[in-house]
Amino acid sequence: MAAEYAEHAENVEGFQAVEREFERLLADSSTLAFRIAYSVLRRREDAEDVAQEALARAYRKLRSLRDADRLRPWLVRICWRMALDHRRAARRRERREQAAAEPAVSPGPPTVEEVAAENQFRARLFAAIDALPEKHRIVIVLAGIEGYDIGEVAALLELPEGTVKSRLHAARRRLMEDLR
Amino acid sequence: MTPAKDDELSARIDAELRRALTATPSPEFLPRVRARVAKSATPRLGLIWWLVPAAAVGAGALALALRPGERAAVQPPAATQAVASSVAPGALQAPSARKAPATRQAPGTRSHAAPGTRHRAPARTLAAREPEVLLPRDEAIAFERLVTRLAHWRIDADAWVSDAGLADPRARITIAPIDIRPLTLDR
Repeated sequence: MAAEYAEHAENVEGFQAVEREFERLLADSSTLAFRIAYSVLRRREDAEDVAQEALARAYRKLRSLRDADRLRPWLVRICWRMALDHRRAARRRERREQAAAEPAVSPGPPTVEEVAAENQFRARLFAAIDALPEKHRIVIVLAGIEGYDIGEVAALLELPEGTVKSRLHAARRRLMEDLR
Repeated sequence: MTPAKDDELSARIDAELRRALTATPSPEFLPRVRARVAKSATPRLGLIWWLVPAAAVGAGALALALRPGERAAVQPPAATQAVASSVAPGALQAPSARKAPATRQAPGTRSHAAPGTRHRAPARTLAAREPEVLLPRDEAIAFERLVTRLAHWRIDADAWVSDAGLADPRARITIAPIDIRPLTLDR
């Protein structure tokens, strides 16, 4: 009886520890997960769906992960991958729908030229980012998220800082060439 | 492109990236995540709690299935079977022994079945797989006498006790003296 109680208490303590760790993860990394997904999808609703699924997977992972410090890099990778998968699926769906539908009407001209130019630059920027090799793309996205320096990006990707620095340099050079 | 223009473009890229990537999720995002996790966690916990009794039932079923069958049972010694067959036919043996086919008897013993009757192959039931109960010779004889007397409504306790070589149990009965006092009223 005492052994059963001790085992039950251990289970309860383990469960509570997982809950605490997950709340900490939500506080620290939910926005990061959302932004990573948003950098790929550029649609708030889609990014929230993907980040939500990635965090739910992270919760399940918490039970089996011995080193809780590795959860954040794991979350970055899984979120990135899920966002890419989501975008691929969405593009396939769009292509099917476009093939079946009438030719789309092109959007009307912008009312304010400055806003239009800004939007155009953003569209070109993200098109250029999308054209980057994947290993360069995630580096520039993480470095672009405010508050993450080279060291933090290296820690999130579990890469040496030198590797992150060279990839970031190569990515920026390629972006500059595409946007000139 | 001049270095100044390069710097301007680089700064513009950084600014645009930061603006785009500092988006924040909606206020409903975290409650949705918690609800999603709670929804996925509950059945898993339920599964864990059900896993223990399910495993116990499975282990029990496995143990029953792997239990040695009737063929693997230990053959009773020939002497015991001979004793059992010499007393009340069919009355003193364990159920499995009564149901056992003639081929399982020790050499030299006779069959309990009347001539002409046929043994049916034992059904592989739980009773058929019960271990046999082997009785010592003196217990078998005593049991036979009891059964015989019960059958004839003759149960003579004196003869029974003397046959068994036991002391008269009535000699051991002592009755304490009875103290009779008149009732007294408290009022």
